Order: sequence, then C-alpha cells, then structure tokens
Amino acid sequence: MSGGYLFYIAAAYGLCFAVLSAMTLSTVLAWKKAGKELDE
Amino acid sequence: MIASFANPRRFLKLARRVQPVAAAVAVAALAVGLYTSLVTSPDDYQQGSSVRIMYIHVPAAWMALFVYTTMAGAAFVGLVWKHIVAELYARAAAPLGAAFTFICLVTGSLWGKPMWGAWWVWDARLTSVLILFFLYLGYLALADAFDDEQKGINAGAFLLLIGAVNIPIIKFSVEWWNTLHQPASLTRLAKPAIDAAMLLPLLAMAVGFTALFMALVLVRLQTEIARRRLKIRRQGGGA
Repeated sequence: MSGGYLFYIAAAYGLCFAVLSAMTLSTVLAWKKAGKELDE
Repeated sequence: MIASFANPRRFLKLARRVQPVAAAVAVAALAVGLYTSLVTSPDDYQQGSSVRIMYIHVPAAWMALFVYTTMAGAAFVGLVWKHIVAELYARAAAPLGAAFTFICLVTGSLWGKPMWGAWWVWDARLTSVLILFFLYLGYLALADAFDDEQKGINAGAFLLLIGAVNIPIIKFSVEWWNTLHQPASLTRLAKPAIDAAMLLPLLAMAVGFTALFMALVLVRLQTEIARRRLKIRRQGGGA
C-alpha cells in the first residue's frame, strides 16, 4: 500500500468497523434485555 | 410463502436456523474482505491507495439502497395484508439501513477530500443519498412518535412508500444529471469494468455487509416480536 492516503483509509475503515461493531453490540444487548424481561 | 411467515412462531423457527449461518458467513466474508482490500489488492493507477476506501463505500451504498427497498416492500405488505412480521421488519431494519447510509456518506467524504479536493459537494448523487439518510432518521422518529404503536407503524409505512421515489433518483442521478460522482462500474448486464483483483475485495465486503445485515435484522426482529409479546402480556392478554 502506498503512503499519502493512510489517514483517509484508516479513518474510513476505523469508522466503518466502529459503526458495524456498535450496531452489532446494541442489537445483541437489546435482544438479551428483551429475552431477560420475557423470562421474568 | 410471504403469508406463511405472518405467523411469528413460524418466522422465529426459521430465523433461529438462518441467523447463525448468516453470522458465520458475515465474519468469514468480512475477514476475507479486510485482508484482500488492505493487503493483497493493488493500488489504482489514478487514485493510488485511496481506492481501498471504495471497498467499503460501494457495498455500504448498495446496502443503504437495498435495506430501504426491502423496508418499503415490507411497508407495502404490512399496510395491505396486515402482515405482523412485515410491519415489524421496517422498525428492525431502519437503524441498520441508517448506519449503512452513514458509513456510505462518511467514507465517500473521506475519499472525496483527497480525490476531489472537497469533503462534500452538492452533487445530485451525494444530495439524494443524504436525503435517504434523512428518510431513515425521519422514519425512526415518526415510528416512535405515537403512543399507539400501530399508528406509528402505519405512519412510518406511508413515509417509506412516499420516500421510495428517492431510490430510482439515487440510482439514475449519475445518468440524469451532470454529476461529479462517477457512474456505476458494476452492472448486471455488462462485463465488470474493474480488474478481478479489485473485484474480489468489493464482492467479499458486499457479501459480508449483506450477511451481517441479515444476521442482525433477524435478531432485531426477534427482539421486536419479544417486545410485542411483553406488551401484550403486561396488558393482560397472555403471551
């Protein structure tokens, strides 16, 4: 990979996977919460 | 087939089987996508290594359009046939669609700065995708704006159907108007205009994003169904 655009590439991939991770985490937490409430 | 999944129990049975497979495909495809896009794919002769941003930007754009189209389709089915799972689908998919649209806009901006010299231009493609993002946010706000959940679902469904007019505008904006944004490099009818070494990371990411969306939307749908059951139980109607 040639230099020069490293900041833009790192920012794009970092942000993309941060959003995907947050999306996954919030989905799983909401599911666990709903499951717990349903079991009570 | 669609009608058979109006029964949430039948739907849940299928969702529990499909969801782990979709999650496994997502992890594998995203790992391949990351490796090929950041390590093995070559630099572009004009864009240099900034082309690597395209491997997440383009699949995110596809997902933004795909998710909205499925939501509008589900809204139609929900409004016409009162299909419970279809009604809940839009609520489950909207935050995911908004997230993909956000990724598309921000990664496009991060590519635009070094390539076009600007973070943002009021180009027809960019503007119509920004409108799509606002449609997602508007839907999320509207669907939660009523005390009566059904009213929110119905109002949101109308917004989704009206907003669907934006989908062909996004798709054909680069052909209808003189835009800075380049036209599609991949179409169903033509041979791909990009090299196989660049096509692989693009397709791997696209498969990864689609499988991740499928896995998450199935979990979110199960959450929505559980939430609805809880509400009925609290109102004294049984589970």
